Amino acid sequence: MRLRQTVALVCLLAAGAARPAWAQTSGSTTMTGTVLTAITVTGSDLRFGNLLSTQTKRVAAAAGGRFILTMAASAPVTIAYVLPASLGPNVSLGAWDLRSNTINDPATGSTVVVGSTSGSFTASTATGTLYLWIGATVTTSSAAIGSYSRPITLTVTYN
Amino acid sequence: MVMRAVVPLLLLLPASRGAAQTLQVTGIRGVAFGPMLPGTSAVVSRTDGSRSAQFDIKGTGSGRVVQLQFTLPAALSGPGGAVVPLSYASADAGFSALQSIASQTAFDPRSPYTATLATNGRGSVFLGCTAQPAAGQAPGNYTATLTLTVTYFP
Repeated sequence: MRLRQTVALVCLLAAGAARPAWAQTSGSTTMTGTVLTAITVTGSDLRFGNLLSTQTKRVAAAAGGRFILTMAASAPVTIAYVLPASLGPNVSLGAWDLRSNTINDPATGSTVVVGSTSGSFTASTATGTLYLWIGATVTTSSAAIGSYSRPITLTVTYN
Repeated sequence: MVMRAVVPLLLLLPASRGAAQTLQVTGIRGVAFGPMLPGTSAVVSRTDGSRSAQFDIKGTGSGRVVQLQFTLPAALSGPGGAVVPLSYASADAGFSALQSIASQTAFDPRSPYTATLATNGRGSVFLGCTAQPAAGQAPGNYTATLTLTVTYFP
């Protein structure tokens, strides 16, 4: 009787021990991300001043409007622009002139080719600041007396 | 007589034990959000071959059933104690016995998941998630540790 109990117990133990051993292990990795500096765009107006009812007047970029862009240093961005074709009836705009520089000096800046009233170009600055100057030619043709304005829009996005 | 019968059986026990289980989990890569914009959510899919997290599992035996359990960070930590919250969706994790990112079975990384390893004892686990930088989030590098624990069922 005692032998039967012992054998049964040992058989149970053996059966339990025959099952695969429990095992657990872990592995880790690192999650990463870089938060970029928020892009800011500030601007000052491109002013043509007083015009005759019929006149052509040019304002060079260096003396025109200015945008200041701040962004992450050395991060490439796309700068999209939308320029008005006119300031109002009989007040047309053309011959746009756009210059850029990483320092506040239009004289040493680079010319950005403006093919039409909308387009885009890429830029990257080591300092994280980019200056843009914009000029154009305005032509009035029997324009009515008054004040005229239209927005110039820049949209800057990280690539 | 009793002792004679018992002793030979006890001596057999070590020989009848299951083979020692070896289990290895290797973190291949972590979730890589890359550049993130303040105020804009950044989403990484578990099927993204370069930005999703991947763990490779190497075990013994054929077709073994294992339990997968992530320890998920709630946020990425960055400069000056700044954090970027992380969120996980119900299908953000995937298991592939074929170790192929193109052949995954989705599961919820927030809960334990039971998977069956391949006949060669291997499998891979992938993870994606979403980071939510705030509008005024401090710029800089952010990191967090992601851990996967794999358990053989006894």
